[in-house]
Amino acid sequence: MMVIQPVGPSCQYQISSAPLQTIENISNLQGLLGRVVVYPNDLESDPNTLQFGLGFQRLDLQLSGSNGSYAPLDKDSLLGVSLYYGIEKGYLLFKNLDPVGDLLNVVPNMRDTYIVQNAELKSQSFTDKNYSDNAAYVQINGSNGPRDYFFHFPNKEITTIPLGFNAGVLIHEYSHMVAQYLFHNKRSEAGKNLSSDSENTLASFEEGFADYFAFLATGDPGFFHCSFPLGEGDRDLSHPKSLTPAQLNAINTSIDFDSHDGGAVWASAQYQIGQLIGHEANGRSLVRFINNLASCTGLASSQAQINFNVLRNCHLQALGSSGNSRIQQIYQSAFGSAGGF
Amino acid sequence: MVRWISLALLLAALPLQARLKTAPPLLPGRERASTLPQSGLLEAQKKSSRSELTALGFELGTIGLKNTSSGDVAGLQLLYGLRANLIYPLSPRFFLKPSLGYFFKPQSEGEVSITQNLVEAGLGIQYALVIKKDLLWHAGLSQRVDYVFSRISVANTAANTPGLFRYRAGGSTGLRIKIAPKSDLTFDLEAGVTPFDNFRMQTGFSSGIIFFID
Repeated sequence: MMVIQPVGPSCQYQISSAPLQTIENISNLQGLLGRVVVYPNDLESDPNTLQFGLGFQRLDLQLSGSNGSYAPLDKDSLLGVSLYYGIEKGYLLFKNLDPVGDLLNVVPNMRDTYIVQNAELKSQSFTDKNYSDNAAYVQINGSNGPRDYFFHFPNKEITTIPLGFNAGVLIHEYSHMVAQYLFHNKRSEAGKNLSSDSENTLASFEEGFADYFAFLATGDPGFFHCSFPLGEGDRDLSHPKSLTPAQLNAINTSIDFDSHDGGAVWASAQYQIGQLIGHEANGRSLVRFINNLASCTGLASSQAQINFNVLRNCHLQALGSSGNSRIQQIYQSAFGSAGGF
Repeated sequence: MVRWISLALLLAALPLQARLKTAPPLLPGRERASTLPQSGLLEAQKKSSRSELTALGFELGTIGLKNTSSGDVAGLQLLYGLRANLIYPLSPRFFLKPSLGYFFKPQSEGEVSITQNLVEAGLGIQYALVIKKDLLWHAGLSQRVDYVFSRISVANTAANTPGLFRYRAGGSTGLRIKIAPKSDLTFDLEAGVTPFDNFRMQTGFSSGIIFFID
């Protein structure tokens, strides 16, 4: 399938054919990882929509080509194909790093995942604002069990690379799904009832975890800024960062808390560790880390206080003999000065 | 005696008839001048219906392709372009309408853009339903073969997609309004399906001018 592919740092792209290895029905963009769909209305206008996955429609694709080699002919087809390509790129990355990262062995109904293109979502919890220029992974607990969604919200103001064409953004969202199944779903009821600062710490770490895997798949530590200018927070992984007292205070108090702030620090620390021991080795350790995180933190069975120190220790455990003192220094430099540990 | 006189007169007349056949220089020219233009005049009067005149036309238009996910108007993706066609009369009311056209649809979002290009070759047969002095209404069948490809570009790179041949067929109708002795204003509508591409509905509207070349 002809798609826009990232080729390394500094927002470089190529337009060429890439195999979609998990696609089963090209005309429906349906594959092992889910299905690209559209929904004509506000997704929250009917509670059954997200709970039961009702009312979604297939994307009306226009493709050229044959014999397994296709190309999108219009913008929405290109976008739909890009969405599936990005999700699959994330899937293959985790699977190839470590078999425990193969979500097809974990998610019981992955084919039922909906990748919603240009989703319209009005949420009261977000001041009735139409979501735009954003993407999200969400698991909805319906009466038939959990349903997984990737939402791509319409492009409104981005003048560079829209999020749907930024594979890094989609891999970021896929990483949240990995975290959901390999970590959150293993938390006990007690382990889900944490203090807000612990939850904020976990949310921050997860954003950084997702950013790091987006970098691993795209090779671009600045993938986020291909869509958003650098002025809107520094998410470039190659820029060393440390948690500021204000950010730590936000984590502890939930006032002005943004999980992406702490996440950027976590991701930059992982980038430095990867530079030290190799990014593939670090990526592999992080797959093991997320898979063991519920038990490592004790959240698989009980409540626990989570801070960056706890997370560091779990990562060092996953790294095994690779967890040398230099890595501890990187963590210390990123989180220690603000009192994280 | 009378018989002999008659025979003599007949023999005397024969050379005269032979001389008339070997005509004096001006006579045959005058005969041609009096008959050929007459024939041409009759033919022009016969074709004044405008349905029997060969013509060359140029039109601007739009093609609407049904798309349930991303239509511009009424669920149709609109491509804009131009078409050249030839009107070739077969009979007083039937005429063929071969055509060549190019249509395109540019779309962009941020630094990503995709332009759909459609090159079409068509052949239609039309029947003149109403022929008035200054107006002709026709309807018929049209079929076209499209070659569709897109150009995708992002940031500093671009590439063309592989092409797709697509056949579409359907009905069409049109109006011609006389605007000059040798040209008409045209309005053409068509609607059809792409039988080998999910029976996707396709419509078209074009308008332009034809020039009679008879």
